[in-house]
Formats: sequence, structure tokens, C-alpha cells
Amino acid sequence: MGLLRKAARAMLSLSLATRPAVADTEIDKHSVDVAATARAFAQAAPLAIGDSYDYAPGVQGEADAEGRIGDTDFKLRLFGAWDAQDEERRYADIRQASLHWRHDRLSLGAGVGTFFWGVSESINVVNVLNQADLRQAVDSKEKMGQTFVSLGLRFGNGELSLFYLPTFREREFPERPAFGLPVSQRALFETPDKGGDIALRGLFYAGDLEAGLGYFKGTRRSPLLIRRSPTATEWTPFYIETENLLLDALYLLHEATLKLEAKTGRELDQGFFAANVGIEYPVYSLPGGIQELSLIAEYLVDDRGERAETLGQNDLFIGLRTSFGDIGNSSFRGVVSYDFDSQGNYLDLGLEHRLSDYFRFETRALVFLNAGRDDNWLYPVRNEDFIEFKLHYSF
Amino acid sequence: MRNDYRLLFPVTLLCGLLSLQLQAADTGAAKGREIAVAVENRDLGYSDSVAELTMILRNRSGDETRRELEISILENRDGGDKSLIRFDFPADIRGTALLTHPQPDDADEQWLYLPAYTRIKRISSRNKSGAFVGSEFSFEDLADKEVDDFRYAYVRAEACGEGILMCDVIDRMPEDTHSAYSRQRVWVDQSAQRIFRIDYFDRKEALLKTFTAKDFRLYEDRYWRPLEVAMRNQQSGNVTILSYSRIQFQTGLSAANFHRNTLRD
Repeated sequence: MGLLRKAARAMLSLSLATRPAVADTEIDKHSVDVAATARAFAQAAPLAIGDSYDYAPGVQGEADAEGRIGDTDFKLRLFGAWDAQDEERRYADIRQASLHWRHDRLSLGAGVGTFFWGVSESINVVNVLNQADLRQAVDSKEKMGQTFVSLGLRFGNGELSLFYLPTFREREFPERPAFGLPVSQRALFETPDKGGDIALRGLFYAGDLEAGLGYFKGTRRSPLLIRRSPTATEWTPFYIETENLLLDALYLLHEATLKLEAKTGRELDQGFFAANVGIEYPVYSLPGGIQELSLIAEYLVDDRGERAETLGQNDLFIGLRTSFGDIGNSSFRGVVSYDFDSQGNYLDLGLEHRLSDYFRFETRALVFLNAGRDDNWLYPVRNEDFIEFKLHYSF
Repeated sequence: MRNDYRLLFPVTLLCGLLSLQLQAADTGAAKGREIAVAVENRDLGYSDSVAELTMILRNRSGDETRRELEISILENRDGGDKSLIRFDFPADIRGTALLTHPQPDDADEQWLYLPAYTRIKRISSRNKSGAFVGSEFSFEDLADKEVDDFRYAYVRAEACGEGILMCDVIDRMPEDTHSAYSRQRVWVDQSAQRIFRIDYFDRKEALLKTFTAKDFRLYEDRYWRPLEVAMRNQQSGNVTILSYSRIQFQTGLSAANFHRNTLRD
């Protein structure tokens, strides 16, 4: 008892002594999300992919926290996943671990962060800062954390930001969906001095118009997948240097939302141009049971041919997003793509439903409908149709 | 001549009645507007407010879901008040936020923040009838109202607030053709200009929703706020209840706290 009291007194005096420092750290918000996951593939993997599987259960988790240390804000987001079959999908990542100091119009940030630039629904041509996490989403919508230092200056209707991105992260590929051949762990680089990228962005908004003008110089996040020899049995990622001028703009025209993302620049001593131009239109006269419905059409062009960053080289995406207004806040998203060159297309369907305030269910299916030999992107994944189920618990 | 008078009499009577009615409509409109101005003036000078509340969504069969949110509002005398709504529960939507900059002569500027993608999304506020996070409140219901957003008509005076108060009942007709409503009937108490009830009529003039407010508290000796409001959809039977746990005034917020990019701060 005496020992306990002594220990308690020691701890009390220690906590009192350290109190000024401890009191300065404050966690405003925190949350945890864990999920049971399962991926089921329609067909067996191609022979070239060795250790193959059709069905893979797994788990994933994410922890979020936000708060203040003195007069500096901090943000933390940790992600981890474990897949019973796919070794490549067993990993952890720091999505965000950053400090932000703000004074009046000025802000300074540093650490690991996830950024979003762009306005489009299908593929974000101008979202260039973070490496995509294809192990979670093959459409590149999930991002891996990126080290950064940033300086921001806010004004009445916009912000100017400057980024320095000291380190480069290679893209990681899941075993499935497979791209025809396994992807080598040994990547090639155009220059040995990868990392140390810089980026600038100015964002302005006025009335119905919102526009962002950006610049990026550094290593391109999306590698070229090359065969080092005609007989090579694996893809080798080849990371090239790129310099981009980026524009994203959105204009609200009556009910419609017009969207544009465009990028021009130089890679491997050649100029290029890529863009995504689209429209989103809400439908108001809806049958009972549907609360909101938006129709989406986006056209993607990329003149880099085999060096294009995404599958949107001369492609049309048509889709819809709807919510049902039920107590489970169910929503559905469906997109179909069409390639004007190869006539290839795929279907991307997603459904979300809330079971309670803590549990929710998500499912997503990718179906490659038509992929000719001349389609660089879809032909390798033509037999990789899969459906994913996730049961989330958040608290 | 007599014949002429006989002929003229009903015409004169008709004209007289018409002008009387027009005059009544005029005074009705003026009186309705006067009440709306009084409601607006009652709130002048509050500067800013921050409220924490629980939103309960209940459907006809009694199933419930809960959201917890914080609403910050910055008074803006030149235009409508700017507002920022941030969610704290359920955990999977924690951090999701909606920022509104009302535009006096145009559609409001609105942005939605999606923390999962760290994405700030400009949304079209012309989709006024859209439901706010699946609730019975539409974006239109939540946006700050300006006196000039409506035309008015005075209806009557009647007892309200469980019969102990007297309310003016006015009709207000949205000027915006994108509004989901043809008319809103508003009950305003005569003693302190508190809104006790609003009946929302859809474009077909059918009663769509009823808003009710109760448990009014006086803040800063001047500003009345209800601690519980409900929006009941009369056509579907669903109801959304907002229950306030804390309201603070003059917390020192400024325009910088309502900048588009504060959404991801």
C-alpha cells in the first residue's frame, strides 16, 4: 500500500511537472475503421502469374487523429491491410502524418500527406502529387502518403501553394488483378536522382467558376511497364521524368456542372497533351425510392500512345451516381467506358449501404467486357473481372 | 340616364371590390414583409455562433440513425450568413463538411469536403431540393434566408407555442424558380419574432413538409434559439430531429474560418 502510494505520488509529481508540455497536445478528433474484405475473381489467373488465387478474404484498418501541439495542427492517418492470398496486399502505409502551422493568410506544412487536385469523376489527370495505391483501387483513386513541405498563401477567393516533395515512392502492384505478367520489384529510372520534386498550384474561384493552375516537375508517378527483353517473363516498371503544366476548371451552367482537367508538358524529350472534359447533370423528376440522380459523361484524351498514364487515351466514360434516400443512405455508382480506338470497354459498379451507425457494407465490381489485342490497357486484364465486398465497422 | 346608372352600378361595385381586394393584397404583402424584416432584425449583431447538435433520422417504420454535427455561422450583413457544417458521428463520415457562401442575387457557393479522398468538391447549389445527408432537410432549407428571397402575404394571427403565445401567420413565396416549393407558411410569434412552425408546399401546392421548433432559450439577452427542431415529411412519414446540446455566440470567428480551403485544415 505504501509502495503504491509512493508510486502514485511520484507519478502525480511527474505528471504535474510535465503538465505544461502535455496540456499543449490536444487530440480533437479520432476514429478507427476496421473492415472484413473479400475479393472474388471470375476466372483463374493467367499462367504467367505463378501463385494464383480466385478468392481472397482479408482485413484492413485505418486510424485517424487530428489535433494540436501548441499552436501547430497535426493530422494522422494510418492504413493497414492483410490479404489471405495476395502477399502484395499485406502492408501498412502512413497516409498522413503532418504538421500545419497557420498565421493569418500564411500556412506552412510538413510531413507525409495525401493531396487531391482535380474535378473529374472517372480519372483525375491533374492529381499528380501522390503515388496511386493500386492494391486498394485499380482506378488510382486511393493514394499512398507523400513526404512534403508546403507553403500556402490564402487570399479572399483562392490560394497559392508551393510544394517540395523530397522523396519518391514506387508504385506497388497487387498479384491480382494482374497485368498479364508479374511486375518486377526492380524498377528502372530515367535519372538516378529521383525525388526532390517541386509543384505549384494557384486556385481561384469566382461566382460559378472555379479554376486551378498547377505546375509539376519531377518523377512521373505512373511508370511505363516494359519488357527488358522480348523473352522477359515480367514487367519492369520504368519511371520517367516529367514536367507538367496543369489546369483544372469547373463551371456551373444552370443545373449542369462542366468540368475540365488538362495537362501538357514534356517527357522523354517529347511534348504531350492529356485532358478529361466532362459534364455532370442532375435529374430532378425521379421515381419514388430514388432521392438523387446525377448523370456523368467524360471524355479522356492522351496523345502519348503507349506512354499514356491512364487507360483514357481516346475514351468515353458514361455513368450515373444515385442515392436512394433510405435510412441506410444507400448509394450506387455505375460507369461504363468505351475506347474509340480499340472498341474496348469495361464496367465499374459500386454499391454502399449503411447497416447501422457503426456498420456499413460496400461492394464494387469491375467487369472487362470487351478487350481487343490492340488495347494496351484492357487486353492484359481481360480475364481479371472481380467483385470486392467490404464490411466496415467504424468508431 | 337612370338606365346608364343601373348599368354602371354593378361595374362600379365590381371595380370597388377589386380595388379593395388589391389594396388588401398590397397591405397583406407589406405586412407579411414587415414581419419577415422583424425576424431578420431580431438577429442582427450576433456576429457568429457555433452550435453542437445531434441529428436523428427516423423513417415511417421507426428505424433510426444518428449523426452528430457542429454548425458554425458567420453573420454577413451584406449578403447571407456564411455557414460551415462539420460531422463528427458516425465515425466513417467524421470530418465531412459543407461550406456555404450565400450569394444575394445568385445561386449560393457551396463546397463539400470528403475526408476519405481529402477532396473539396464544389457542388451546384441549384440542386436545392437535394436532401442534406439523407435527412428531411434540403440544402434549400438550411441556407440562410434573406428578406428579398421571397414575396409575402399576411394570412392571419393565431395562438401558438402550446396556446400561450400569439403568432402572425404569413405566406412566403420563393423568388427562385429552382426552389422546390411554391409556398411556405410561417408562424412567427408576435412577442419575440421566433419561428415556431413552417409548412412547406411543393410545386403542386400539396403540403410536403412541416418544420416545428420548441424549447426556445435566450442567448446573450437577445437571441432566441430553439433547442429542438423537427422536419416531418408529410408525404413519406419520415422525420428528422435536430437536438442542440450547446450554442455559443461571438466566439471570434472571422471570414478566414469560412475560406474554401479551411475545409481540409
